[in-house]
Amino acid sequence: MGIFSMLTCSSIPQTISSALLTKFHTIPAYSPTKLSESRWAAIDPDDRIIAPEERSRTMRDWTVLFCEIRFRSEVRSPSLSVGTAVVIIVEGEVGESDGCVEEWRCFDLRESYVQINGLGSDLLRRLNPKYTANNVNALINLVPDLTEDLLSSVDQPLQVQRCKKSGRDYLLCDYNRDGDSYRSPWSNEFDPPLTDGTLPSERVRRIEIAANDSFDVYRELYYEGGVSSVYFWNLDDGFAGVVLLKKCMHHSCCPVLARANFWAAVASDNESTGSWDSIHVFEATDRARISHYKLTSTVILNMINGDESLGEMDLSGNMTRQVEQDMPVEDDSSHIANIGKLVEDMELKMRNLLQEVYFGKAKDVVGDLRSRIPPLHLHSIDAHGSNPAGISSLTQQEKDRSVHQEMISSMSKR
Amino acid sequence: MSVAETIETASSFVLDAPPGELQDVIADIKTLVNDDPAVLDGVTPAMEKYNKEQLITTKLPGSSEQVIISEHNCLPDGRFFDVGSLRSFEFDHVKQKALNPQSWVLESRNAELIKALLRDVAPHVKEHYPSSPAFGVYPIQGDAAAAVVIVGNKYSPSNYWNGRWRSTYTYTPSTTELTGTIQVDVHYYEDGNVRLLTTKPVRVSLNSGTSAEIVKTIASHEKKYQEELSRAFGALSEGAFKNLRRQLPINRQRIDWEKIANYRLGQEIGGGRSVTK
Repeated sequence: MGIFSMLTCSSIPQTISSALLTKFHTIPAYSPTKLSESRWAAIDPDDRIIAPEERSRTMRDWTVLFCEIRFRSEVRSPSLSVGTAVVIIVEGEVGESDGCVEEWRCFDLRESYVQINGLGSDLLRRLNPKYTANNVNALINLVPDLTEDLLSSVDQPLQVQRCKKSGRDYLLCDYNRDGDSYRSPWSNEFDPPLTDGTLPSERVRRIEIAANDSFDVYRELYYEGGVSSVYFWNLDDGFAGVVLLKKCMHHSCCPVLARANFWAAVASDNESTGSWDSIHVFEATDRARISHYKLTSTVILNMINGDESLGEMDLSGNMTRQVEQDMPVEDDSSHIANIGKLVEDMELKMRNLLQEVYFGKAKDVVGDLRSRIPPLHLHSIDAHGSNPAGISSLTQQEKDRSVHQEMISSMSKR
Repeated sequence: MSVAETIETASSFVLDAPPGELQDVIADIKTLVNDDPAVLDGVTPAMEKYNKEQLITTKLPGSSEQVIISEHNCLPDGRFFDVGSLRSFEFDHVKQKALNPQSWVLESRNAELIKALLRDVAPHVKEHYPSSPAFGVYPIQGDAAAAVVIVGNKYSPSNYWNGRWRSTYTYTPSTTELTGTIQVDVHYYEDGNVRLLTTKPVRVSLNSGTSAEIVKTIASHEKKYQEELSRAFGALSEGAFKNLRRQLPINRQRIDWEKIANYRLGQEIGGGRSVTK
């Protein structure tokens, strides 16, 4: 999802530009000012661009007198792919030259931008995933310039709201939000009402209605409950959308998995409980008879288990995967089938992945931290070629006994 | 945001750092606050709290043995002591490094028990904690009790996972009661962020309260807990996980998206919200 914010962002937040500027020598007396529009228009960034590999060395040679960072949508330089680029224009002294030389250069800073832009995300992938929503708010307060990026790129558990017109539940996310209002996929109306809320075009809304009906069926077949919502919006050469699915095992723990509610649910049922949120964001680019789909999927899976002998066990987190595919399109209904297949494939893949990470990897790491079988015993089993898995179902006592037996028999053979 | 609020936010990030990732979290915070020295100084108490809570281990200069940082072996002047090596040392909570070790003398009416525990816990740790473990036994609560602290860490950042097992026990000779907590923290972060956090309280009344009985009790509780945890993974996998989302629909077939309209028809005929084909 980071890619979308990258493409739609037209200016660089102040914090980020000042962080980028620290890469240059700056003279405090010459605070960077804006270049005039005519000056910008006259600059061809391809003309004197510094290639990324040259950048780190060259940047330090410049003393900034005049500087501005901007996005350029078209860079034709062979060393750079066509697309959105971050370009910095520097005017000032080069190296040890005497006096002020009228010079300027363009730097392609996409990489640095992504690096700094990714900071919030790096921190969020380290902090407890259970509290991502709180941490996002804390980060936004800390660096307000990151607000737009974080809200559009970080997936949080979905909130549920009831559609006043249809009486059906729908899910809230950044893609059906306009100001403080959210659009219901069932009524196409905003709540609280908006007179000028952004709506999809008539054609895209028709596909959106059909997609909502189809994914409602999908939801019932795979989730046997829960809530689904699909939102589409127009792009210049196609459309984009998000498929949302959510299931909570206890209503008391919806929509935010409040810790107290969670434990109350565990205590009352004396069993495990959890919640699943799927967020599938896609772009469909129309071409002749085919469409190119780009899908980014995140699943947030939170689970909890506990009783007196186990204590508290919290296994929570999120995983993200991307896929791109060309698929044939006959008419608009083909899009539903194509997106449906993509999402179904992706969810199957991700469910297997989650199973592997949550119940395989996490469990294995616990075994790496503390081993139930002392290493000495493991060695003696391995040395005699027997299969440790074969005795894993026995009790420790029996294990010890069989190991002892093996040791004795191997010693008597010698 | 005021400096005080920024410090509070940054401190909460520090305390939330996964095993072995404190320096990464601090690096992120540094960039986010533009290296503001007031903020970085302000989060030092949080780092101290983190190091003590997480039982951070360190090597004393000139020694290869790991020693633990915890609230139980913190001296009033902020230095820490280690009973095994009979040394005290300073600890740089930001760089997580030990400094200026000095010799230190154990003065405790439970000195015999503490020494015996150190001797008896060692083989238990060696047998069950395969990756860079550390342990310590300390006089606590104004010499009224002894603390046994065990920590096992395994960091594998190149494979995007890190883990920590912490066991902290308090034995009170006057009541012959052993209380404690076992905590496991595992972080997996390849294209995602998955965290396992567990807490298991322990409370047992012992008979004799000898070092051997204490260590035997610790060993049996940890073993039982590990089996319990292993079962809990299975229970979650077979319970919550399966109930949240099926692997395939009930007819064991993937959806025929070309005919999805027929599924809807079934739903309408059925009149309910359930779907039949």
